[in-house]
Amino acid sequence: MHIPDGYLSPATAGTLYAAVLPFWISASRKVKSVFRNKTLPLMALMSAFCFVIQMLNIPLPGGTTGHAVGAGLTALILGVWPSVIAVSIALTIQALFFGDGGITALGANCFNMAVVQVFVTYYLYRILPGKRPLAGAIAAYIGVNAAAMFTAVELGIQPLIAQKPDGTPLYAPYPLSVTIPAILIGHLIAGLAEAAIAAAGIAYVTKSAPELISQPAVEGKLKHAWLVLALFIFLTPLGLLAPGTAWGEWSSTQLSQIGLGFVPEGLKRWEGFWSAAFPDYLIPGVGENTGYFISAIIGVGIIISIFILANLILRRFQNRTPAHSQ
Amino acid sequence: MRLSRSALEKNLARFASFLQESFFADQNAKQNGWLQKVDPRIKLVGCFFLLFCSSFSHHLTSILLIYTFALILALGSGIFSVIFVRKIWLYVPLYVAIIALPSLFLVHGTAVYRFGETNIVITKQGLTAAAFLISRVAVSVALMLVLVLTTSWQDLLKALRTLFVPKIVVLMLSMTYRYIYLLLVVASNLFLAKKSRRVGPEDWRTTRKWLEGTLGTLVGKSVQTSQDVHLAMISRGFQGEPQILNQFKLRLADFVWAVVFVGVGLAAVTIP
Repeated sequence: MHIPDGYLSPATAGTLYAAVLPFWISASRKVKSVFRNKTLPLMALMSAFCFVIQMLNIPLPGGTTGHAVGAGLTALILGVWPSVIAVSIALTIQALFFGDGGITALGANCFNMAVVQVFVTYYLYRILPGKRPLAGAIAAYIGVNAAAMFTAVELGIQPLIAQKPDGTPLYAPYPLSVTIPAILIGHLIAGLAEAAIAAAGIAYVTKSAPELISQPAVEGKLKHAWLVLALFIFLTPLGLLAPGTAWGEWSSTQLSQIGLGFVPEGLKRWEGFWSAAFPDYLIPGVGENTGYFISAIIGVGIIISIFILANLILRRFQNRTPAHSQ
Repeated sequence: MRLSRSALEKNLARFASFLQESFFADQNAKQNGWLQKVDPRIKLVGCFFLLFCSSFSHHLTSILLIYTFALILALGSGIFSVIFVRKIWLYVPLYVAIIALPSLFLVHGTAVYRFGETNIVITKQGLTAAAFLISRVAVSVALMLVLVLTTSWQDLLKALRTLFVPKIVVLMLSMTYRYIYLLLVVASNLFLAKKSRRVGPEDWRTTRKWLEGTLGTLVGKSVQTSQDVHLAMISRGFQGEPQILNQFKLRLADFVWAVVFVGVGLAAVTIP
């Protein structure tokens, strides 16, 4: 899921850097106020833990192995805000020293894994009733798939926003109708590694070292959980397809135009994009965009239905085990 | 979920090769090549600048120009060795070309080759798109390798300060980098212990229990170490504000290199 350099257009990469920045600022403030001087070593060790988790090969059904992002378990143990930092630091080190994920795409990768995955996993875990390891597994599984969904959308919109006049895609060449099924289907299996790691980690920690579970002060407020989930799962992937994205992309391109001197060609290209793509967006039921739209809805639909199903199943366990302490 | 022998060994091999590569990178950084002598700040900003130039470029020639420059830098710095070649000419074709291949057929446009009487065609646009993707990834991998293999990680992190990365983040990055190795050795020992004690296959439940224990140990060890480190920092007078010694000094050669980096970048962007 680590997007390398060269797959995203500068406009998308810049927009996602801008999107992840408020989360970084907010996370560093919250974490600092809670841990004070302890923050630094704790975050550093947790980032290192997250990094090592990503290197583990987990055996999966069918004789294959997969590796987890580790953001799921980190979110379950550390809570939302510290995880945003820990996962971001781990991703930065991977990009900077080990070539896993690009430098220009770092904002995108942090947004997908350190924000989307962490938030979705954490709040789902808080909402889900029933046995904690199972809830952790389901939350981590859906969390990693949500991150995969964002990755797919980010890659899939590239042909729409960066093309040569003759239709040659300049960055990632596949449309949403290809990227969403390709990446999501892959993660329906690879996500099992994330789930296995989260379940195993939570099982051990709740049993043997409950004091390791995140401190209440850095946990998010549960009453916002549904809001956050709704925001991440529903609105944003669809929002990326709607004209709203084009607006965000447009603003960032403007920024890059101010900062760098490659204006004329880029501007021409963009004007072409606006006149060409906008009418199609106005009538989403017509033409090629239908494919994009439907595939996005199906992707989100799968995630939501897994969640609802899991919720129904887990409610049966609710009476047997006390809910996780709040 | 059965922990097959191969999964255990895969993990051990992975840890080992990771440690080996990091050691190799550190060795390279101490060699006497072109870029090893250059100020890390110039290298960092220069490589990032070229990365952005290639990212913004809409022409294959300019991307290839930067790519050639990166290869020349690798040759001149004496890092054009097994790991560099393996990453550049094995990783890129293997992973990226496979991803790029379907675009030959999936991207609509002018047909350049038709398979018999079928509708399957290779398009000119598809070929160009694949070339763009491969060359963009190749150039960024080459640039990052040139940067990382000629700079020690301490210098690289310190140089990040020139990009206005806050001190505290630099310190956190460097601490994380340090403790990755500690945790890797712990994990590696856990796997080795498991491997050396196991005879024959084991059932799913046992495997799961072992995995729980391993992960739990790693979490516990991380938290415990962080507390120890915290105490060590406090006892040495840490008050929440990191102090970073800055011994970098720009020489004339560094300015020349800065001009070279900017020149190549601008040439690549303007030539086509």
